[in-house]
Amino acid sequence: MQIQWPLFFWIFRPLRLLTLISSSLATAYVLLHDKPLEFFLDMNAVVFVISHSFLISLLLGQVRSESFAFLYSQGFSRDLLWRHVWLATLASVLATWVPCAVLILTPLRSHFQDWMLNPWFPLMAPTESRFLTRSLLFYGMLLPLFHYEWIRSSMPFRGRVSGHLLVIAYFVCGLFLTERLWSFSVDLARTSMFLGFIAISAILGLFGYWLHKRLEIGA
Amino acid sequence: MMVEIFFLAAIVILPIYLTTKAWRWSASTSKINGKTPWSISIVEASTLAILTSVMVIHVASGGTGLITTPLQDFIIRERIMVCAIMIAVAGCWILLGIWKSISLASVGMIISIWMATIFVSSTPAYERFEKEIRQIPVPINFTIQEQIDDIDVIINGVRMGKATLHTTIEELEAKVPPITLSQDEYSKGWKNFGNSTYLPRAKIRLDRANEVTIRTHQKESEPMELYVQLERHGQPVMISGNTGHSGPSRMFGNIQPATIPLSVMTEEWHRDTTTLLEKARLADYRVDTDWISAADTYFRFVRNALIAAIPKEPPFRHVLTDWAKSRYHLDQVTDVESAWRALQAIQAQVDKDGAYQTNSITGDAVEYLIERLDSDRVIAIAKTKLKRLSTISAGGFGYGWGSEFGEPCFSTSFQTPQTDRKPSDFVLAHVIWRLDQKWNAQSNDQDNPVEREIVPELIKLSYLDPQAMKMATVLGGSTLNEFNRRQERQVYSFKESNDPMKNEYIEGQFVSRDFWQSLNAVGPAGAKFRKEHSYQALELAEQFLSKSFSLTSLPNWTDFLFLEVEGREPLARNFWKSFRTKVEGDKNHRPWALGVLWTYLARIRPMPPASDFVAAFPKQSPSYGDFGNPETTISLLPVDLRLRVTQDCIAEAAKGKSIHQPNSEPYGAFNQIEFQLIRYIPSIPSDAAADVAMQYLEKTNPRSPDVSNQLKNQGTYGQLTSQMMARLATSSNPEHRRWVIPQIKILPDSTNRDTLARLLTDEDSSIRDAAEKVAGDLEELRRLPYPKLK
Repeated sequence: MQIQWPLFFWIFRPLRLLTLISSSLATAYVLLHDKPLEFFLDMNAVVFVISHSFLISLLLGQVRSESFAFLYSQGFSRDLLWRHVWLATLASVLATWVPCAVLILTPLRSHFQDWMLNPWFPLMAPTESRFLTRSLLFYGMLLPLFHYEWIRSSMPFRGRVSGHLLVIAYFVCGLFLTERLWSFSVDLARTSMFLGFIAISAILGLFGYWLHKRLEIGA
Repeated sequence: MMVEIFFLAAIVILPIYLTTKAWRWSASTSKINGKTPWSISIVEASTLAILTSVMVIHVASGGTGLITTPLQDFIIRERIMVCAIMIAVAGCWILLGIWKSISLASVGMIISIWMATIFVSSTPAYERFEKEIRQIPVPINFTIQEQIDDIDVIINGVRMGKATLHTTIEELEAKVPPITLSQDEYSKGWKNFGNSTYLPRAKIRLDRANEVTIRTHQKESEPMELYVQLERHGQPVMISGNTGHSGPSRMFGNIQPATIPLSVMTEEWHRDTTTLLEKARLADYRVDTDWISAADTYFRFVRNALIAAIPKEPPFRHVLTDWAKSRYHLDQVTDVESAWRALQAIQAQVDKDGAYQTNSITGDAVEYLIERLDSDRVIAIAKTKLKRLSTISAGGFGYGWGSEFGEPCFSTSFQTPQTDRKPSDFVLAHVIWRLDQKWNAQSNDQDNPVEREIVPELIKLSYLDPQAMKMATVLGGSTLNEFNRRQERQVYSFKESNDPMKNEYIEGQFVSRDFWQSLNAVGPAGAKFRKEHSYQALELAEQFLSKSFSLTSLPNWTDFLFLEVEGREPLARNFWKSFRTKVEGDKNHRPWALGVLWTYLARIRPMPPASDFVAAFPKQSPSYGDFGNPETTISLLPVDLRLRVTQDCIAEAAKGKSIHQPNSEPYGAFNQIEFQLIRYIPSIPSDAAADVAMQYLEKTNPRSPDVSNQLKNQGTYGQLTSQMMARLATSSNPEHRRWVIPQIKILPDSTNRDTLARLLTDEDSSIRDAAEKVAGDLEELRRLPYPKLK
């Protein structure tokens, strides 16, 4: 895949401030949080990923803005635009995630917490790599959902609620079950439930791509 | 389970199927007009339906996640109906959301789910099925603890079948006539075998399990009174008087069967068990394969008898080890590889049994292997396992004091199989624990491999599983010390935290887990913490003590009181006054009081002087029952203090009052308490104790004019030590020499057989005759074939 850097930077423009803030927040949190990082047990981290993902899609999906109309009228193919939207998304996520990963894996965080005489460090440092994989997975589950939402609500058949209902249902269901997900005694139940959510994200990501191709931009 | 699988399959398979369909459909659609394409409608509707279904399953299972406890068919049917209705209702809300108002649809959805939750999981939900639930048969199982086959179970005179008997409350109500026996009728024919009482019948009061919810609990009917008799091959079998059982229940449709374990014995089985033990003594506590195969037929009886005998006769430990070696073919262990294979065989057996205890024959086999195993390999495997786990908690896992061998032991049992934890993992835990002890005994200056490799993994696990910290605390090491030192900086109070995850439930109250862990930490960090928080620790101990209402043994929560405190004596010293006042004030448990107080004192390091033990002795005891069985109570003391404390207590008892005053029969010049204490002296295993006992016997003690005869008559009460027997055998008093002969028959080990050999040439012909008779009896015992259970 060829990256057109001017196009990437143009699309990324609205995400600059968000990325800067989210990256700073995440880095500070990862460095200073005094308990071992466990993604699904740490509601701060979960809420952060949800908010970040939602804001990315909100800022990239300003379909009624002039800049959006301008971009979509410059003759870029929809596939190229779609790929670069995801590239900008990925850049924002990685700009937030990579500093955290560096802090955790180097392990600067562990040294810092050790220096602060935190009893859990450096012991718990090796266990925190799963915080990184799980947070990335969670981004991967949410972003297709949110991107689908803005594309769906830009369609001529969007109606009143368009993709919002899906997102609401996804979240109500997810939040309701998050607490239970780890306490299910049946491994089959836990795995299937998790795969079910991933499957829904994958389906919506696929249909987001299909709808994006058919997006009609009003100037 | 079927319902669960069905819905889970739906969650995964349905989206895949619908996506494939929709994708094919969409491929043929190139243009979009103002109408929603069918493909999108299908995808969105199916996704919403799936998410709603997940929610509804959650609701239908009573809000406890997916179905984790078996439900009755009629409850499942109702919940499936609720699911279907909820999906339809949810569909309506979705349509309303699409066409009208998302807010209205969301509110409607939440109300619907909330109502469905109330409908399926509240108390009235179960009361709707009260009639059906009451009709479900509740299983009742009568089991024989000693696992003896071919035993007939007779209940209230009706022969019900062979044990293990599986019946139901309904069958019992239909077949068994109600009878009531008076206490005399019920206990008529009781017998003592060893220290236990056995009765011809067991009396069981069995709940009818008619309650369905807490509200209907009030309507519960009178329990059934069952008199259980057992027979084997037409011969009656006695049942232990201590029969406890779990109660049956139908609460909330969850059927809990009742299991009634019966411990059995007959005169013949007791005699055979005793004979096997006697033959083991005669063989100087080393047993051959024939003995083991005979003992295997009486497995539980002999094992229990050995474990009961070990505190008095430690060499019986060798018998258990020989038995373990035979059972697990440990003679074939020649190198680390064969030791490893033997350990794996033990682990396989433990997994099959579903339980493991360190103080068992299997535990002994593991003990035997510890020295022969490749410790690096064991530690590497244990470390890998620990890295894989998120919790070490098992179905039932315990670690504590109070085993039969008087030392800490692990005990595990798994009620339900776990995917990532097995009972055999605790075999490894046992090996790790012993390796740590062995290396600590060699040198405690540096961390040993267990403390380096295993303890850090346990501390990591303790973030989510406090049980792991308990195991880490047992092992210790510098990593744990550092952890505790740092933890201590963050701990401010023992008060309950608002976060339930940060609390520990101890002795009826919640306390800060961090505080509790730091308080119980071993090593320098824990010692420093206890020094700096001694005021709070004692305040906490006062709170626990005020809630302890049955002090028949030393409570587990007192452990921290005996741990070291930096630069000071243990907290137990400061707390002694409060503890003693509470124990002595507990009038309902007076026979246990002295035992509890002495156990407390005996755990304090450095050991308190004998005068402290004597001070705890009740001075104004009306009877010896006030300090329980003297033999048991005094044996709680360290061996080197027993004689001194006993003598001082005798002096104290002389000052006290007794219901039996001196010179009344049969206590001679002593009051009853003095007499009981004197009688214990010959069983204290030391030369000094034997000398003191001889003074009493030979009337060189000015206050012992009559005690000799009384001690002789009580000769069979306590087992004499070899030192005592040797002195008796060389006594100038022929009575004493005569007295020792039956004692040798009770304990015919090699030392005592030598003593018997000397008595065979005694100058007194009557002693020679008695010795010859015992020698003949022992020879007959030697020739006797090993008894086996037929």
